[in-house]
Amino acid sequence: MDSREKLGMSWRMSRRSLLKVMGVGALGAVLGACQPEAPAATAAPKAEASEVPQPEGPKEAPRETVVINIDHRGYQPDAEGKGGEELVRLRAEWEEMHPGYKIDWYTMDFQGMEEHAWIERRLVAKDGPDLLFGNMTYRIETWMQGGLMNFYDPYLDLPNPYVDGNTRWYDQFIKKSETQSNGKTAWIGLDNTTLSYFYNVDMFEDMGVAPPGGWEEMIELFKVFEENDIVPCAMKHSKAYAIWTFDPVANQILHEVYDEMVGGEGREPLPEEVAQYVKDGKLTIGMPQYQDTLRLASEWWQYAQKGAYSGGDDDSYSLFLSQKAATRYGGCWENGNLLTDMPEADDPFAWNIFSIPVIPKTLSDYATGHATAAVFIAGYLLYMIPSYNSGEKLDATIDWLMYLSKPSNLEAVMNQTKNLVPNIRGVNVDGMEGFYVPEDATYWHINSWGSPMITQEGLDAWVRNWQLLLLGEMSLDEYNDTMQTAWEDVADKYLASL
Amino acid sequence: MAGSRRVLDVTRRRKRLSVTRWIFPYLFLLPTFVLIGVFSYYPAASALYHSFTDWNGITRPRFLWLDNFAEMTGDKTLVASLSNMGIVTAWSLFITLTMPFLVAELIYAVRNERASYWYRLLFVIPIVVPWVVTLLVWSFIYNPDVGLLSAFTKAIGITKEFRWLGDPNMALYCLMFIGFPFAAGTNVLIYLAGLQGIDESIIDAASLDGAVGFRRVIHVDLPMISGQIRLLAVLAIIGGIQGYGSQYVLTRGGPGYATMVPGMWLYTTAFTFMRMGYASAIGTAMFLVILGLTVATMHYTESAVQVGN
Repeated sequence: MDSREKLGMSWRMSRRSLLKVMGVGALGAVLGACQPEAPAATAAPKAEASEVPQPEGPKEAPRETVVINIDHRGYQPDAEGKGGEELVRLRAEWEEMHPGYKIDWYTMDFQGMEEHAWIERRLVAKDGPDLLFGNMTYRIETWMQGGLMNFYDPYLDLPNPYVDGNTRWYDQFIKKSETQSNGKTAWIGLDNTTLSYFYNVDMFEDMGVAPPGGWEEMIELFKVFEENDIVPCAMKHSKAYAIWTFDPVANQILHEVYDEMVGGEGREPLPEEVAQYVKDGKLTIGMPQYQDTLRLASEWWQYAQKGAYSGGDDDSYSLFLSQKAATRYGGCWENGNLLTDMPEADDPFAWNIFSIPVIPKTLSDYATGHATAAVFIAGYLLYMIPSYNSGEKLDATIDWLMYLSKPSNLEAVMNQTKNLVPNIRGVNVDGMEGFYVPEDATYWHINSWGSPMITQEGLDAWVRNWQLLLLGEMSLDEYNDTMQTAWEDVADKYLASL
Repeated sequence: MAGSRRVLDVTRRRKRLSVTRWIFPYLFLLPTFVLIGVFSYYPAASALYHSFTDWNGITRPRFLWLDNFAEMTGDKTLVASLSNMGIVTAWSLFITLTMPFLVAELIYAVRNERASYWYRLLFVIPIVVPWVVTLLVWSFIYNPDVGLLSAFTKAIGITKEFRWLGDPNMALYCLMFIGFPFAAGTNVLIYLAGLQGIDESIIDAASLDGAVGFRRVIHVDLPMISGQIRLLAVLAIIGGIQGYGSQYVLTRGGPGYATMVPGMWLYTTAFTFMRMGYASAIGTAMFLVILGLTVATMHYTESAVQVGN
């Protein structure tokens, strides 16, 4: 017995007791952390809070400098400060017009995560950019429902003060954005992306062939290259490319079905519209229009490089650049890469662009006989506003977008990269005309994220089963059965989730 | 009076010192416990909780009880991926237990210390190459149009064209072959450390009994490094069940579902379909399977060692 115990003053806690105390404390901390959060505020009231925008931009300087973090990916200077000179110039002009406001370029760092997952975290944490580029319209509805989005609606009907005679900003836009389920516009696009074929002009001349005038000519052309051991059509190995090849064909064959689905509004069908059609049996895998689309799109894929189904590292660009492929089906956004890389290629060659050929009635009774366009809204300038951007900052952000959508300003920015097609009237990007949508084209916007298959889950099943069909691992009957079941399942789940 | 107060003061000071003395180590440990709790146990507990919910990562989770687990039984992709996982795990176990052990034995047999050092170094150096880089190199090797393997098959007169990773019947085996000859890395070092830890006297006694060469490897080396074997076997099983790195970089589980494994499906479900609740359920199930197999492996190898002893 030590002296403390002798005096009856001993106070000692055993390790076991300490661990018990720590355990109870830790449990309390965990329970505290697991407490349900307060319901997230919806974006709607926030939008309403700023429903009195200042159409001519913020007139008075704020008390403290308002910094707007903007992600103008693709147009802004890179991490090393290179490029983006036109945007930098416009920013300087705008900041001079609006003392007390400052624009900072926001550089994304996805840290190896899927882009949409990373953005989601930034939106929830409210530490992302105030103007957000995100080419992922398929997630916006969920974000909106989570109260993470702000809306453009109060502003789209206002005049753009930077454009003489403009009475409504949204009239400047060639194609309008799809609205969300609440009828509001959560994203706008100042530019557009389309798909076409890049082709090797020198190789075409050597082989004595010309760009095809129609679908059958295209297949004949591909056969010529295949016989000469040249990859006829290099395709990217991505899920998106499956739909980007299927939809331009569907645009020409399933057009009437889709048009009826959207009530002749000439827009992309919404997932719920597709789901309802699938549920009602008005859109089935077995319908002749779908089967014709599948047959022609599958024929097209037979001329892709052998590695195109691997889903791994994409080799289509290097195959085209090294002249192992005669054509490459690709997006206008890759035009800039070719402009940069061609002079550095081992054996540079002349290249040009041809559009997706028209499918004649001889190949499908349902063909419209019109050109198609694989077109999306939008490219680098698809912008969403997070709900944490509100008040005077939101007004200033919109003002900056209005300034940017002044045709001469946008033309200067877009011509610096020559990557995309403008979605603002009166803007021209030199050398990109081959990517413009033909006047007589029958098209709707292609939702590259799989709207015909309703959800990402549906798209995934569709791509994988199509791969198996293309590779001869699955019979057509098997494919039809599998996909019809999957489609109905996805439609039911989606409709139930609404 | 003053004397007793002094005694009380001393006692109080001693009591404080005593409490402080033994509480300090725990205080030093506290940040580690907190960090482990936040970054390891909380996510795991969160996954466990969310495995009973329908949750897209943003909106409020909806409690489903066991619906996610019931859905797993009818998930054709998940069920089909289990056979791929079985093949990959068996292969992973096989190559972990054979090739590195063989190399370690060879290095152990080198008598010249300098040469032994250099061999060891040469087998360890590839560790510094990031695994993703290795995968991308193999992606080039497997490219059917411009890759090394296709060029090789052409050069030796095979006219048949292979799609390699693009062929559903070959893709999984192509992925399993990545890393050939499977001899580099830390596994070699672990085996070698085990072999070098065997007491010389045991080796000498064994050689007197005639256990030399292959017989020594079987009757002395293997039983003596059973701890290392057990460790590597458990790690190989865990890696085989959890792993999806090659699939993620090279095939995304395709073509079709040819290379799909539960880990890849979990990832796709979570971050492409944004079905966090269902993905958590898959993760929970995988955890239980891994736990069961680990316990079984430990138990089995322990018994085997006891029988051997």
